[in-house]
Amino acid sequence: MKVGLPMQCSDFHKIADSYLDDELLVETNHEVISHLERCSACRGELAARRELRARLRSAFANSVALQPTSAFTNRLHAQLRADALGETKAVSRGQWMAIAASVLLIVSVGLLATRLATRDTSTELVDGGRGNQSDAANILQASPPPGAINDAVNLFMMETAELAAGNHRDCAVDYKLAEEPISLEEAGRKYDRAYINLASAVTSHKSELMNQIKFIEAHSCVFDGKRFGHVILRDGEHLISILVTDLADPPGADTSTGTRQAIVNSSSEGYQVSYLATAKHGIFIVSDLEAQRNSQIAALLAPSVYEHVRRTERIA
Amino acid sequence: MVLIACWDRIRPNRTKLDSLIHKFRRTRQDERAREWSAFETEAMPHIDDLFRIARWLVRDRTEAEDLVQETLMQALQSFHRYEQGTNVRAWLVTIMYHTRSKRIRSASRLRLVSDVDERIAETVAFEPPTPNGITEDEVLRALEHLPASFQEVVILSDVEDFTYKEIAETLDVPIGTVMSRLSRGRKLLRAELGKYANEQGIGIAGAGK
Repeated sequence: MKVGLPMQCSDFHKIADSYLDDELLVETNHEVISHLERCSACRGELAARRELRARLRSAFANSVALQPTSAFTNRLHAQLRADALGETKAVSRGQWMAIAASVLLIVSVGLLATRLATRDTSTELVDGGRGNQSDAANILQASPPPGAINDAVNLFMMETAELAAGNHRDCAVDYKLAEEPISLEEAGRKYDRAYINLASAVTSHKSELMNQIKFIEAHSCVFDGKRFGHVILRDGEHLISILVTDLADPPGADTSTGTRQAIVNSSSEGYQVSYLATAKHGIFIVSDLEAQRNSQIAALLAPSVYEHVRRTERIA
Repeated sequence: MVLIACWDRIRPNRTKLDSLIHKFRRTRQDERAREWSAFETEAMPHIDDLFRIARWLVRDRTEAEDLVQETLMQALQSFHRYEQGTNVRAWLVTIMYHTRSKRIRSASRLRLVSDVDERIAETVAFEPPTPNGITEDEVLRALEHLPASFQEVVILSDVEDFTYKEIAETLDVPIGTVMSRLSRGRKLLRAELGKYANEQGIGIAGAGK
């Protein structure tokens, strides 16, 4: 359109679509309006286009073929509702994974977390001749999706970390004598199969780092009313606890196979706590080591412990 | 190893861990209820719109139902990313397009249409006048004759009332492309309808201009 000259029909045709869609600048809009006031042909054309658009809209709204059936919308509504409220397994699984990942985000930002890719661990396991990549290979520290920070999970993690740290302190470090621990075998028979052979699951992993770590003792003990499978290791002057306890549907759990698992690192009462959940158990690795060293050891040990616990869950 | 024993604070009922889990679940349940209520209010009223677009895109009722279902499930899971106050319908349709193109890619039947489509549109060189008095069936039939990439912009603009910017974001194309496809799409539609008009002697606006 030429500047300064009144709008011509050809100009109008070029911008008629944008005018119809209300996408023109105010000034241009005014020019169109004044052209339309003068030109009945363009007014007619515009009215016909409006009419065509209205017809298209009503065609979509009325065409039987394009409408969803009420059976479908009702079914979908019910299904989405169930998914949203966590009444079905499929989505709650996905949500747990999102939660696990978001906990990792919180932890990595706010708490003394150190990121350590356990993918390397998996490779080492395979290199070590075990050749078993099933669950172990899937454990890694997941990247969190943006935005999904969840205070409830954060709180849960901090408080359970406290419990695991408490057990480590009272049982492994301070030897507070209250109730004598029992053997893993006995606890395995009486309470939870996951305890049987837990010690060998922990010590089965061989690597250079693990050569520096000594096995001290394994038993099952009760802390704060909760039974744990407990394997104690020593790294130089530091004690390390590997704790396994049954949790029904634990936060962060992965109940599917083949999905990646997240190790969550946190600290409590001066101890570093790494946490990992299977479908029915929580696994904690606790020590007063540097955060990075603790999570490094956790990353090395977690795959075989995780796999061991999962195996007993599958048998049960 | 020194004899190790554990400290057992005797609790008659629930252990601390159990009550933590319980508390966690309750909080989580409240959050879920809140989120569902927001989703139900914001997103659910658009099922019909989503289905209409889906039905047009895939041309098969069952497939359209699958697409809408997958779209809404996806939307529910990423609802925390939806910005309150923005066009929720545009957000949902964008998810639907992404879902669909993922499906097409996974079924490896990616259509290479755009170039051909644009060339077809170029062949309508004249400015077709807009026929009056056309029926809904005629309009739908005429729309079906348009290349797919023009159909979608016409539907999103004329039926769904999306802005150019929203269409550009939904289809992941530049705004200029939206404008040119829309202009050509409508032109093709008018030309297509003109054929019916000529066949049936329906009036044409601006004729004799």
